[in-house]
Formats: sequence, structure tokens, C-alpha cells
Amino acid sequence: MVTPLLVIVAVLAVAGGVVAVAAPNPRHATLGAFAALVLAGLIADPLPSAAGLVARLAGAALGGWLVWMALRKAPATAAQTALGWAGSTGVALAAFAIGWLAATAFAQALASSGAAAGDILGQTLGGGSLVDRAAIGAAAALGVLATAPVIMPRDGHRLGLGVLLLVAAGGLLCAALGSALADTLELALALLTALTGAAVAAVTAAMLDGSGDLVLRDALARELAVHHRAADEAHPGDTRSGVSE
Amino acid sequence: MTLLALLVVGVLAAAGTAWGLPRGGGVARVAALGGVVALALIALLAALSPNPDAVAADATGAAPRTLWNGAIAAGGYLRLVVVLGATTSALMCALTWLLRGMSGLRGLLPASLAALVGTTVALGAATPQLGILAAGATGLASIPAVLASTRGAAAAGVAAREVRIAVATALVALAVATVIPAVARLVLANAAADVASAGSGLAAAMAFGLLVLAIVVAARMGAIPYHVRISALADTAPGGSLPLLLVWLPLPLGAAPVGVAAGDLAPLALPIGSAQALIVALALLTTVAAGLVAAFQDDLRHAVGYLTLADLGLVVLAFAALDPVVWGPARTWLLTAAVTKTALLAWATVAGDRFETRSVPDLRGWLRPSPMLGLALGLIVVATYGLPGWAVLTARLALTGHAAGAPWDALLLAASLLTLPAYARWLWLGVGAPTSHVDRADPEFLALGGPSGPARRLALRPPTRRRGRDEGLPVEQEGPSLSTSGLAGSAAPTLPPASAPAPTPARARRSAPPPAAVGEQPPRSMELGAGLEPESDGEAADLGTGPQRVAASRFGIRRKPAAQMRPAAPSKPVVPSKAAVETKAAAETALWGAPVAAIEPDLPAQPTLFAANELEVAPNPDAEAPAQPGLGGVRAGTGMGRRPRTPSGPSGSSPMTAPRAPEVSKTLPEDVLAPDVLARGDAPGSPDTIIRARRGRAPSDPDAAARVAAAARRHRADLLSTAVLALALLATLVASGAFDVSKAACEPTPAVPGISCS
Repeated sequence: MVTPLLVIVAVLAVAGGVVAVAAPNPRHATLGAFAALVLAGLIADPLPSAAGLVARLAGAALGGWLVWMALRKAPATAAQTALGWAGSTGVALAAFAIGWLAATAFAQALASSGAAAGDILGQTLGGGSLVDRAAIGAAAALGVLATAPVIMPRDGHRLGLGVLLLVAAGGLLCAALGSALADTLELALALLTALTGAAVAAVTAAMLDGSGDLVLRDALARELAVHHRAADEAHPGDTRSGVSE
Repeated sequence: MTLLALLVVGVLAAAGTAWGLPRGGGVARVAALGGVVALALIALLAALSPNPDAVAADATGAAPRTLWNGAIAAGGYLRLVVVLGATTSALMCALTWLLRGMSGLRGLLPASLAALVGTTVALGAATPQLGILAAGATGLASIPAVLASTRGAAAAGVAAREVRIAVATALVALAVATVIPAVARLVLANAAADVASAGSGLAAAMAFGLLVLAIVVAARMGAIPYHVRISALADTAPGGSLPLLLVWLPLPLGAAPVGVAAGDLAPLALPIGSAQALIVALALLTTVAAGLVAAFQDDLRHAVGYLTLADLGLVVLAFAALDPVVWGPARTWLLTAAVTKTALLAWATVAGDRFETRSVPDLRGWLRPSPMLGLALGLIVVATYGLPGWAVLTARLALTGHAAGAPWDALLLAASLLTLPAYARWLWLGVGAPTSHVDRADPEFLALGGPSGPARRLALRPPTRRRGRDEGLPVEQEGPSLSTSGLAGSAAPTLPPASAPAPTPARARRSAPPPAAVGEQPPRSMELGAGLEPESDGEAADLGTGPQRVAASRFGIRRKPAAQMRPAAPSKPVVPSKAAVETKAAAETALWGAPVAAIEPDLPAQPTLFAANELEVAPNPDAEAPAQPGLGGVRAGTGMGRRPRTPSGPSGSSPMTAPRAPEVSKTLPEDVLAPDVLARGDAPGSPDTIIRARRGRAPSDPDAAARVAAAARRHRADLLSTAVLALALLATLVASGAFDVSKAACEPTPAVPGISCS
């Protein structure tokens, strides 16, 4: 009964990731990332200890709340992924399927070689646990969803949400492949989630204070552009700067 | 318990300083003091933390001398990194306080404390996953360091990229560190079946994992082609924060993946030469390109950033080596590079502040007024490359030698030495003819070509001989003919040969206006009194230090903007008015108790420190005006009258016609004190206290902090150079192998048990 429920939770976590990258409204996107973080903490076989679970939920709640609070002056819309809702959903589903299949192949290799016999990895993933496969699938989906905003960011807030999705994906991967997470690892993940949320909130607030929007401006490129423009205006006939009248 | 105490102290101090420092006033001072004490306490606790007997839990379920049953345990390397990190952080905080005042510590101090906590967890973690997660969280300490000192969208963009580089790299490394052990089980289980032969899927997977780990570390260190954020940080972050941002925060994420490669991957001995070749190419690209760019880069901060990434980027060779033997040298290299580059970044920050420029060509001649900085740079160079038998050179040879076979190892070694031309260029520039930036900088007390320590103090005394009628008047004379050289030229004929030595070139340079003053970038602040604020102390260098500066500020003497400066031209002497001479005598009487000529008649003439055409005299509108006899009839045009910037005084008459002397104010004008100091109540006592403190007298205010602050500002240049020299000495010690660096780096850790360098 628990196993199918956890698989559904994994799918819901991926849905939260889709909302985080595709929703135009930054508040909706924050809610999506928050859902992904909370739900990712639940997906483990065996279930995490109560202390670990509480720590993960507290970390996710704190991180999400901080980001939410930083959005008080945020505009109603912001730059979302260029893939849109349908594209993001399709990419997420494909990545989920690839992760699921890779986990299945890996589990079969483990089972056939007897490499992990006796340890928890062998008993769960090697033993055909659907939860671990769903966790790896969800980790792959969240990781792929986070790739675009993290590597090619147009929006500082969305970049932060992408990083938070990566934190959720890392936790899922650890839970699936690293056997049962020790409480210290759960605590470390919770702290990293909360601290990342705080950092994203600080960056978001600084952006809204500085420019009133969430657009990520490349500081270096802008300064260089200003510098070159000033140089050209100071020496309009100077062909050395590449500009001649 | 000591580790737990260390973490608790660090967390509480980081939170306390983050809360207290932005509040200013006494709260900020207490927070800063508490933060520095916490740094010392952290270093002490780290030094006292014992090695565990065993990381695994015993029969009773407890692992003694560890935290959380063996999750975190101390080790020699952890102790060394934390102690050195705390020491360098304390020195950088002191340096930043001297440079930027209390406001400079707002981000730096909490970030340093948080970084030490994170580094402790990362290096003491019992599993690679925990260490990598802690390393990622440590990297987030860069956010307060960037955002606390710089506002605006640009800084927010830089901070967003720091979040990305800190967390995303850690999570990628976490994924690899999680997958590799699982795949390694398959490899070990099928060793007989040769499933991991060259070209097999498992070998390819492991090669991919190794490559990803190397790229993650390269990206975190800022290696080329991930170097753009280094330039952005150099432009955005305060100089005092750069060592933390560029060196100490990436260190844990450099050390943890090296453990994964050396502990998990290397024992498998997989045929993954292609990945190793790619890593060697990446390291080669980084060292060659960064070294060359640093040599030709004219922006000092950027150049130092490139030198930093060139040295730190060398650690990716540990992944190419894929040999447990490089475990120790890689960690040794990380630590020595961190300490060395901290000293180098501090040197660049102090040099940029002292000479008011980041342009390397403008630093020509910097060694003459700053021999201590020169000595520090020399020590940094020695610490960077090392001498035979030193830990740093051994580590460099081990990394390059194990990463590739001949002749690539020689090529790697030669490429790693390509950073040398940048240092050579700076040192070579330092002995050249000084630029105007260098010429007007505050010299150190050991300055060459200028007054030495005692001589400098003599130079700060009031002029002693009887001057000519028009010599050395701190007034703005009308007409373009008056200049410093004009003053000197007019005075020389009136002096007997024995008491009127010809000015030395150095003196002439200091007394003449900067040759390129007109049209040059104006100083940040033209207010003479701004010299009391550490950040802009250099602008007042031409006006002297100590009593001269105080005198100038008391009489409202301001340095004219560069655009208004007239070029010096030797011309006919100008005869000042009688009123101007009387006013000068009265001013000297008010300041030193008697006319200058009557104080020390035997001392030789001192060159005037005020170029007359750079000065104007403005009143202190808030000054009370004690009556001075014989000073009536101050006329416009002499420059000695009260030139009101505000409506006339209480009497209602024009101050320019007021028959009173220019007063000795009892309060400093507000623009003399730093706005930050005034706004936040950081003023160490009354302004009068500052005056007395700067003149070497004990202030009546018994506030010890005020006295320390005043003394620090008085000896700012020397203190800054001393801090850089201390960092350079520390770097030299670490590079030489002191503190058993190599041995500590070779120790196995809970995350990488059973490894050794032999």
C-alpha cells in the first residue's frame, strides 16, 4: 500500500518541479519548488526515521518560506522556461522514464552479480524496490528540469529555484543509491535546503531592491559595455576602438 | 566535545555578528570584538581537538572523541585548515577594518565564521556525501560577503551566480560520489569476468564520473573556462573579502572530491586514460592561459584573481593522476595555495588602496614608498614556488609528475611556472620612476627615498627656521605665478647656504603638484579632513600627516580639486601681504603655542608639504572664535579670510571682513569625519579627542577603543603593510612545511580510511 503511494508522491514531486520552472508567476513557481522539496523528503524505502523526516520537512519549509517572503515586491510575471508547460512536462516525463529504466537495469545488474547481497542496497534497489526506482526517476526529472534555469539563467529567482530543485534531486539520489540515509545526512540535507533557501531569498530581495525586477543582469558584461561605450564616445574618431565615424 | 564547542561558538558568533554589525554604534563594536574573539576561540578549540581512537562506534554504540557517533571527527588536516583559516580571517578582518572601517566587516566577519564552521564539518565528515553537502553549504557564506558590502542589481547577479556555483557543483559532486561506490561494487563483483575492460560500459561510466568530478572542482576553483565569475567577484566584492570568496570557500569542495577519486576510484585501477588526458588538457589550459593573462593584465585585482585560479586549478591534476599517492600532495597544495593566495590578495588590496589605483602601470615605483609591501610580495613569490625540500615544491612536483608521463609532466611543470612573469612584472615596475599615484601615497615608516622613521617624524614638526616673507604660506595666492617651485625659488636667495639646503628630488616631487594632476582622475575625496576616514586617507597624503593634517583641518585648509590645480611654473616670487603674514603667525601661535620660527630655530629647513596652488583656506563654520590679537583687517584676496560656505556667522557680518583671526575650532567639521562614523556613532569620542589623539596626546576621553582607533588611523599605512607582511610570513612558513603540513595532509580521514601517501 505504501509503495504505490510513494511512487505517486514521486510523480507529484516532479509535477512540483514542472511548476517551478514553467509557471510565469514567481509565487506559483516558489510553491512548486516547495512542493518538490517537501515531497522529495518522503520518498525512501525504507522510510526515513522520524527525526530525519522532521528535519527534512523543517528545512524545506524554512527555505520555501524565506523565498516566499522575499517575493513581496515581486512582479506578477517573470521569465519562465522557454519550453513552456508542455515542453517542461514532456522533458520531465522523459527524464523520469529514463531514470526509472536506468535504475531497473542497474538493479538487475546488482541482482545478477550478487554484488550487493546482504546490504541494504541489494535488498532495496537490487531487490526490485519500486520506490527506489521512482526516486531515481524523480531525481533525473528534477535534475533535468533544473538544468535550464541553472545553466542559462535569465531570472535570478528562477535560478535559485533551479538550485533548490537540484537539492531535492540530490536527496532523492542519495536515498535511492546510498541506502538508508543516516540521520546526520538527513540533517545535512535539511540544513543545505534551508541555507539555500535563505541565500535565494537574499538574492531575490537584493534584485528587487536594486532593479525592481528579477531579471539577472550580467554585471561584468554590462560594465564592459558601459566602459567601451564611454571610450568610444570620448574618442569618436579613434579607429583603435573599432568605431570610426 | 571540543568539536561541538567549536561548532556552537562558530554558529553563535556568525549569527551574532550578522545581527549586530549592521546596527552600528556600540552594538556593532561589541559584535565585531566578539567575532574576533570567536575567531581566536575557534582556532584554539580546533588546535585542542583530539584525534579519535576509532571512528566506528564501539560495543556501547558510542564513538568516543567524535560527534554524533563518528559522523564528524577531528584530524590533523582539519586542525591545520581551521587554525590557519581563523588566523588569516582575523588578519583580513583587521586589514578590512583599517581599509573600510566597521562597515567593511558587516559581511566579512559573519561569512568567515560560517565558513570555518562549514569547513570543519566538511573536512571532518565520516562520509564523502556529508563532506560534500557541508562543502556546498560552506560556499553559501559568500552571499553575505557579497551582498553586505555592495548593493544593486549587479551585486545581486554576482551573488546569484555564487549560489549556483556553490550548491550546484556540490550536488553534482554528491551525485557522482553516490553513484561511484554503487558502480564500484559491480566492478569488484565482476572482476574475474573483466567487465571493466577498456571500452566497457562500466569503465566508461567511471571515466565519466571522474571527468565530472574534475570539472566540478575546476568550476568551483574558477579554472578556465569557468573564470568569468572570478572577474565579476574581483569587480564587485570588497578587496578584503576576496581571499574568503576565491580561496577559502572553494577549499572544502576541492578536498572532498579528491578523497572520492583517491579513495573510491583509484583502487579500481580502471583503464580510463582518455578521461585522464582530458583532465590534463584542462589543467594545462588553465595554468597556461591564466598565467599569461595575469602577466599581461593591467587590472591588478583581475591579475591576482587569475594567479589564484591558476594555482588552485592545479589541483585537478590529482584527478588525472588517479593515484592514492597524490592524496597528500593535493591537500597540501590546496592549503599552501590558500594561505599564499590570501597573502597575495591582501597585498593587492592594500596596494590598490594605498596608490588609489588598480592599474598595474600606474603602480610604477611602488617599491620606493612601500618596502614592506615589497618584502611581502617577495615572500609570497618564494612561498608560491618554494625551495627544494619545501612542502609546496614537493606537492607541485608530485601533482605534475603523477598526472602524466614524460614528457607531459615536464610540460605541466613548466606551465605551472608561467605565473612567474606576473610577479616579475610587478616587482620590476616597483623599482621604476614613481607615478603620480605612487608619489602622493602615504609612505611606510621604512620608505626609501623619503624620510625614514625618525626623519619623517621630524618632517612632521612645524618649520623651524625663519622664513622669507612669502615662503611656505598655506594660502592661496592670487595669480598663476605662484607655485611650490616658485615659493622655493623665492625663498632660497634669502637663506644662508648652510640653512637652506637644496631640495632633494624626492622632496621636490612631494612638494610639487603631481605632474599629471590636470586631467587625471580626481581622487575619491578632496576633503583634507577625509583623511581621518581610513578609506580615503590617501587623498590627504600631499597635505602631510599627523599635526600638519590636523592643523590643516582645523584651519579648514582643503585640497583643491585636481581640475583647479594650476601647473607649477617657476616664475617671479610673490610678496604676500602683511596681513597674510600676520595671519600665518597667529595660526601657528594658536596651533603650537608660538610662531614657528621661535620654536626650534636650529632645525634645518623642511620642505613645505602644502603646494600653495593646491590649497585654499576655508573656514569652519561651526567654529567658535577665540579672540586673537593683532589680526584685524584680513582682506579678501589673501586667501586667509573666512570664506563662508554657509550663511554668515552669528554676528551677521561677512566673515571675510570680520576683524578676527581664523579660529582654532573645537569641533571638527562633519565632513572631516566619515559619514559612516557619524551616522553610526562610531566616532571614538569627541572630535577634539581625535585631534589630541592624532597629535600624540592622551585624549581626555578614557575610551580605550577610541584611543586604539585613533592610533590605528594614525599609523594606517604601516599597520596595513604589517598585516600583509604577517600574512606573507605565515604563507612562507606553511609553504616551507612548518606545522607538519605534509604529514597532516597525508593522514587518512574518516571519509577516506586506509589511504596513505606512500
